[in-house]
Amino acid sequence: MPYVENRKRNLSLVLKLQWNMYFQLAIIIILALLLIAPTLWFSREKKSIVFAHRNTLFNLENAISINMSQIDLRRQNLNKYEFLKYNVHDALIIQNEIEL
Amino acid sequence: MIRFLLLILVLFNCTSFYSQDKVKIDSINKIYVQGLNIPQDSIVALFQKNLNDAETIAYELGMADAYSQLSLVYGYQGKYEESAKNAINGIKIYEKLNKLDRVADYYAEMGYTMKYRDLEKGLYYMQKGKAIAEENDFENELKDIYNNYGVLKEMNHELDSALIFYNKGLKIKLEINDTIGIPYSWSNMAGVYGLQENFLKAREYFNKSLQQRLVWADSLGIAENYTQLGEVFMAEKKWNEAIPLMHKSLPISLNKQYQNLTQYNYKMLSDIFKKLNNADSALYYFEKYSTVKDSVHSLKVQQNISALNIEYETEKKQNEILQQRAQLAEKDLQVRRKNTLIFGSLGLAFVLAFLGYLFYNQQKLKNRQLQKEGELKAALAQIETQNKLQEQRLRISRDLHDNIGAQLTFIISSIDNLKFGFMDISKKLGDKLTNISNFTSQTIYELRDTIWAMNKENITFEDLQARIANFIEHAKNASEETEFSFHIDQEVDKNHLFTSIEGMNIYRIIQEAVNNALKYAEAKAITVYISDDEDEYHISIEDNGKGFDKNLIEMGNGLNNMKKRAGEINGKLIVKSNLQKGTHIRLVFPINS
Repeated sequence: MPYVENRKRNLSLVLKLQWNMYFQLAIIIILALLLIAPTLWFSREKKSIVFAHRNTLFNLENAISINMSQIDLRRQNLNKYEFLKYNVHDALIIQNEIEL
Repeated sequence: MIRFLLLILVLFNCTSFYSQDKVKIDSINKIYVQGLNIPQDSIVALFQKNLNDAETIAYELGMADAYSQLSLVYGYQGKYEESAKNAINGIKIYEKLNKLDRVADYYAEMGYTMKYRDLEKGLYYMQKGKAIAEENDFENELKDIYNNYGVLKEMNHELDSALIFYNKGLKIKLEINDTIGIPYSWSNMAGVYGLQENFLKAREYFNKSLQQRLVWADSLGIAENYTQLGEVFMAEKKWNEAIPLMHKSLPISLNKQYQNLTQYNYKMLSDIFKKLNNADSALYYFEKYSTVKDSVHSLKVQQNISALNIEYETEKKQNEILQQRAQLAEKDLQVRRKNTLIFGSLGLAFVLAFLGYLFYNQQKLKNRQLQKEGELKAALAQIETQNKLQEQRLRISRDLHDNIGAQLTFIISSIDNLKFGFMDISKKLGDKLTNISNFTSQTIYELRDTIWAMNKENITFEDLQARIANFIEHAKNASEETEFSFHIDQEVDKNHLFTSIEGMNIYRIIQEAVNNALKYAEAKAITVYISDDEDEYHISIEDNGKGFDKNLIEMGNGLNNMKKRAGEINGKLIVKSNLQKGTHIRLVFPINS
């Protein structure tokens, strides 16, 4: 093959190699984005889920605590009943905040 | 006489011969070297013989001319040392003979032959010859000197100056009709026009020169013209037009052993083929050139050939390397593409796996959270339900108590009103009303106990113990003469939980028993003792009162109530009483009732 034709062929190969390099670079960038973007999104989602969950737990525990304190108060009032005094009105105290 | 005549005859003959030799020598010396079609060696031999002949007869002018011709021939052959040696020998004789025209010509010739080797020196000698010729107005010499001097000027890049001298030379040649010299002038002028890039005029003059030389069969000149015409085409980069002209010049220069022109032709051809990227031919002609040049100049040519060879080989190798590189690059490209595909796929698979993992983790977290929330919600629902149920029960109980209690209280109140409103009611009626009132009061108390027990799920042993102790303390305060004791066996589980009904009933039984002991038995000592065995509780209330006969005394409401209460907690009440010894009431009931 003549020298000039060889050089032309080599030049086209060099271009192809260059384009292949750019293609590889593009793939690396895309894969990196596919790794980073979802990681960030999932991280953000997790934070919001955890936050919502914590709020829910707090509300539930709070409600449980209120109920328990009401039960406890009821029990304490019932303990005030003296067998000799028959003071049932001191024992049976209605808690109006409880909605039936 | 005869001797004299013989002598004269010999002298005459000698003279004749001597004259004939001189003529012969002169005629040979006058031969136009450029036009000789015999081998150069033969020409050298001819003039060498001529020189020898001239030496033989001591014909100095002939010797000088012979030296001149030899110098010229050697110059054409590239044998410059020989040429210079002969020239100097000739000049010495000419100077001796005061042949200034020959001297001028010699110097000019010497300078001309030195033009390639040492232009500066060449110019010097030429100027020397020119000066002598101009001084003495040697037109015949001047025509060639001017021409040759123009050549040197041209070589020295003084083109306008060269043209001037060529024109000077041409003028003389035209005047004397120097048919051989005129073409030289035309050729030289054409060369200058070529250098000035006036190629049309250059070709015109070269052709004029060629035509003239063809007429006079000036082989060397013809060869030179062909070469020069080729050079014009080369200057115009018309390589293909130049090649045939060089090929026309070559055989002539080879035949004439005109080494300088031959090597020049080869060089030009080598250059042309190099321009045409024909390395093979370029190398071929360069080798030819160097072969010729080596014999003329120094070994530097070998290096150039080697360099050209190397250049050729290098170009060949470079070509091979480029081919190999191209193949390697192609393979490399294929491998890279495969690698790109593989790594890209692996990368994508990894990314998908990673996304899957992230998603799985998120779901796992959500599930965990949901589970926890579910548990808490269930717990909340349970406790809310329990709370609401308890609250509802309490409210209902309270309402119940309020309603029924109020009614019962009304009944009591009404009965009391009756009792005190009607002063004349009988004792029996009064007692009956009192019983009803007491029963109603008792009912209210039981209602309250029941309501309390409904709402209180259980009572600890500790709490019960405290209440019983409290009751006993009250009883003590109410009856200071009576000694009370309350014991609980150590084995009894103090953490046991009684239901409220159990606790209530146990307390009421103890209360009733103690009240009975105080009211009816007139006891001085009352003991309450709680113990247990494996699966039963034993509560004993013992007093040292007056006791009673069970067969004679009917069980009153108190004892019946106690039995009823014992029955409610799946227990039994055992009453033992001995007159004047006291009463022992034992309540037995199962632990997990």
